[in-house]
Amino acid sequence: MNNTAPLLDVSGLIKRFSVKGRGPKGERRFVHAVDNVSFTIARGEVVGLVGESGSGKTTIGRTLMRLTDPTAGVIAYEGTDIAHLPAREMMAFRRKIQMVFQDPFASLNPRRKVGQLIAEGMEIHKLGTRQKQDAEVKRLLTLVGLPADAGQRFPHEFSGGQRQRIGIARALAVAPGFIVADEPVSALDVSVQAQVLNLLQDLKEQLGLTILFISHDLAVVEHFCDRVIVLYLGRIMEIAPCHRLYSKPAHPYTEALLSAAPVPDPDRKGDRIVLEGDIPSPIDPPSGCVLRTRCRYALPDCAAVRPELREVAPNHFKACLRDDIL
Amino acid sequence: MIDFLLARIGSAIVTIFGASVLAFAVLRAVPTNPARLIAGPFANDEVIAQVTANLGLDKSLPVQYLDYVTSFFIGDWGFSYSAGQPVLSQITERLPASAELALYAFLFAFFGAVLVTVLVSFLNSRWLDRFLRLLSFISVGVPPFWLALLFLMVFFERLGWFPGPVGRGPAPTGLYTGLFTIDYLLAGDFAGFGTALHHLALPSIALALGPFGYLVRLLRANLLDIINEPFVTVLHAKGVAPISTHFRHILPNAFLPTLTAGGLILAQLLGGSVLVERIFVWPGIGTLVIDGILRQDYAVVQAFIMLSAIIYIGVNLLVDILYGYVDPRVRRS
Amino acid sequence: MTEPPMSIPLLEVTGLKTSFTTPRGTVKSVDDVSFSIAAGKTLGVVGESGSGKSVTSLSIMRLVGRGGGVIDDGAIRLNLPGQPGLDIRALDEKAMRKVRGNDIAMIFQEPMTSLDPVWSIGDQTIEAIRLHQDVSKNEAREKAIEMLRLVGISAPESRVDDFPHQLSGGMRQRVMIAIALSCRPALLIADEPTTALDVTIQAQILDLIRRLQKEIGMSVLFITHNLGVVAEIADKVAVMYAGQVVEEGPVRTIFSAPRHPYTVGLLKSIPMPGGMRVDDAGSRRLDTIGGMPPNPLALPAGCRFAPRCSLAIEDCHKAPPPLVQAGDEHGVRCIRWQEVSK
Repeated sequence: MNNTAPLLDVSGLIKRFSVKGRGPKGERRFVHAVDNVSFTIARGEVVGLVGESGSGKTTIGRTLMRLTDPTAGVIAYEGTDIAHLPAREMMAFRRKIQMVFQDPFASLNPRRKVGQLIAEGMEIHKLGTRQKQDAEVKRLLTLVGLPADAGQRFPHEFSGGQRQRIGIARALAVAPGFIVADEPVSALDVSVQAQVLNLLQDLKEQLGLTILFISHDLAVVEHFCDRVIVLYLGRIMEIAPCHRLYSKPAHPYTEALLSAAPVPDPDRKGDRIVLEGDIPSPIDPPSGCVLRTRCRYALPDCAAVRPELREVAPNHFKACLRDDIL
Repeated sequence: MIDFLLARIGSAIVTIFGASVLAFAVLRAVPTNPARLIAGPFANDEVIAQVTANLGLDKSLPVQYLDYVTSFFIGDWGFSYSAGQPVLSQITERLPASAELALYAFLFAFFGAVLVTVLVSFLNSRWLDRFLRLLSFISVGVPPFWLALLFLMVFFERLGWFPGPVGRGPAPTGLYTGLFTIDYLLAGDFAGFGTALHHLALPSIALALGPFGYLVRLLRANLLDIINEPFVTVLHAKGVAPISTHFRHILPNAFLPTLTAGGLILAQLLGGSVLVERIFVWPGIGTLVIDGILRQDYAVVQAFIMLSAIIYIGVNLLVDILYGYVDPRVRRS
Repeated sequence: MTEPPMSIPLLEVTGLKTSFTTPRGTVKSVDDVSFSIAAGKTLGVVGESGSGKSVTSLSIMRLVGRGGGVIDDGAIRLNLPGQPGLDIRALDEKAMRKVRGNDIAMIFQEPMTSLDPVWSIGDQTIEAIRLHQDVSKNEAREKAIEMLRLVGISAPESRVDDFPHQLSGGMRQRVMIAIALSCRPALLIADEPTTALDVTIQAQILDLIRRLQKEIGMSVLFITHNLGVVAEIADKVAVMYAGQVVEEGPVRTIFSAPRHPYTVGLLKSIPMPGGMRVDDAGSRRLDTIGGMPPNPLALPAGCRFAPRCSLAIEDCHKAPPPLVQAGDEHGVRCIRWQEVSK
């Protein structure tokens, strides 16, 4: 990590989706899916992106991949802003940024063999000869812990955990510099989930992968990530190194999230902080701090001022007005 | 609901506009000069010029279009030179015949399909289900004109149970709606009502079978989908009896797509059916249009295009309103 | 077999066997499952997908037939207070419908699809009430509003006429609970009721179930794959694997002194909050259970977990192990349980 410039530098990222119908005053309405989000990821770093449904975590992942175009903001990958690159120039970056999906086969052609699926990216980006690609497929399959001849079979012949291994092999096939993993273990049973997490851990150590790990599972993120970004309603609530976030959460939302997560320990009693009510609509988010409608620490000021991210300890940022809590 | 209706009316205007442009273009796109057609083969240039001026064909296209649209809306739908009478009166004369046929065909198809399919799915018998699938397969595949001929051969010629190809039968003395069955009923003449139904039976069933098969397929597929929805398991877990689950919960849910399809089918049937009308000598719109095309009587064709658009819009509006009534998700948004 | 307890349990399931016929053969989804639930207590059933936990609950409700399943063997007894015990399997369909939703109620995983989209939430609650109670439509409506208030829906007087699509996932699950509890059942079967919900909403729903359990005094059969949720809500736990209960016991015993290799493996394979396991090489790794659950069409002759078990010996592959007592109310289906420790 001698390179001090971050691999990925996202600033002021905004994504709005327009909604059918108009508001009470006849104005156009938007879902504010991602609302002014900025963060960086260093080379070799694994950053967790946590949040509940509607937090914008998946939208951020999709925007980084340019599967959806951002409304505004800069996504600098190795210094180049890819947020508004035309399709032709984006092609080169599509190779560098790969995605691992929750269900890797939901979007793939079930009639193609696993080997063809893995080699697809190499074909598109014209990497190596046919023979080299075949050899590479075998190497990748072994790397992710599958038999080298698995490439001759079809996706439906594999179990969920094996499919996720294939999905990982597919992402690695084009030697990407950055991987967006969107809930890669959420659909798996616990025992299989552990196997895939270990695989990711090994690959990260062997290949020095840089990963944005999107998940709703706090324990998995704590286990796997170096740094964590906590999202709520399209905004960043807190960013901190992993051990710090879990031991000393600074934001009321993180505190509630950690307290709500069930722990496999029947003796843990203690007071649970239950966030009352539902997540507000992202079409019409609360003024000021978006958490204030459910926050037990909210003050009148919280409705008036939108809190910006500020550093409360080295590398530890929070978007909360109050300093006298937690 | 007001927003919803406004949006509907907006799209209706667009549809009517499109249809009017199409109808207008039909007349202009024909290779022969309509004026010459109307004036006849022996007319001299002077007469043709006179007819051209009468038809307004010497004006610019936009002006012609505007003239056309305004006259359409004040009830001047053009003059059918082959019949020697205004198109509008021809259509009002013949529309009830097609409408009555369409209505009965629709009733057979729609309610027949719903009744049979729901019953079979409720009884949950594999054999009945197979039979239903076969029936729908056959009825979708068989062309209605062939069926019409078959019906005539069997039920008229062989068995003599139904009247032959003689059209609608005797007309009731007082015509209110133009639908014979209704008019007989209004007059309290049940024997006449029976006669009218008797004449309607073969052609309407011949027309109904295709849509019937289609609706059976659609509804069957939807019922199977809904039966496997988690909420149906929840209903069983609540202790709701199967009959109530089936008819009060599953059916209303599965019914929604059928309603849309039913509307389209009704609109299509109302436009008349050329072949079945021909075979049964039914004095309907279909016969009128085909004669119009063959005689290059384009005023009739034009009027038919507009009429189809209006029927289509009307039926769809009806379906939308019904949909809003059945489906709360539509009602609220 | 467990000693006969002092008080009669509310639900006793003994030797339950349920199978499904598929084109490729018969799947024994539930194979010789026994457990009991005491009045007012919560039994957590944990297992991974395909372990048979949901089929067990549907068998108790006698709803497996819809999916082509058949209860082949076993007894399901419901002992309502002050009434003679009910043999669930012997009831005719009509009597069974009186049990469903009235004595045993059920809530499911998918709050988004568990409600009829064209019925208002009030009407769906009223339907449940009027099925089992002899009340007028207006009285039922009042009761429905009361239930909606009880499960924490604000302004229930106006929300009662809302339709499911107007509610969030958490709210719908509250409505489901309102419907399930509207007849004050003696047993609530909750099949993964919080799996589809966000953590903060999950916490709300778990709190709600616990609170209402106390108020109504019902027992809960809580089915989940989430060990954290089980630790929080259950008094007793049954761990299922490949259609069998492999270990059962009080929640503390299961988490602190498990005796089945599968339970141990499961507990070790989840990332523990706060505790980071670092192996000798300094790498963060989770312990895993190697391999995969057996093919339900070709189950091993001996112990079903043996092919994945690091402690398996030859005997394990020979005959299916019986459920043996490893301690007070603690049963284990393993012949080497004495060698197993966490």
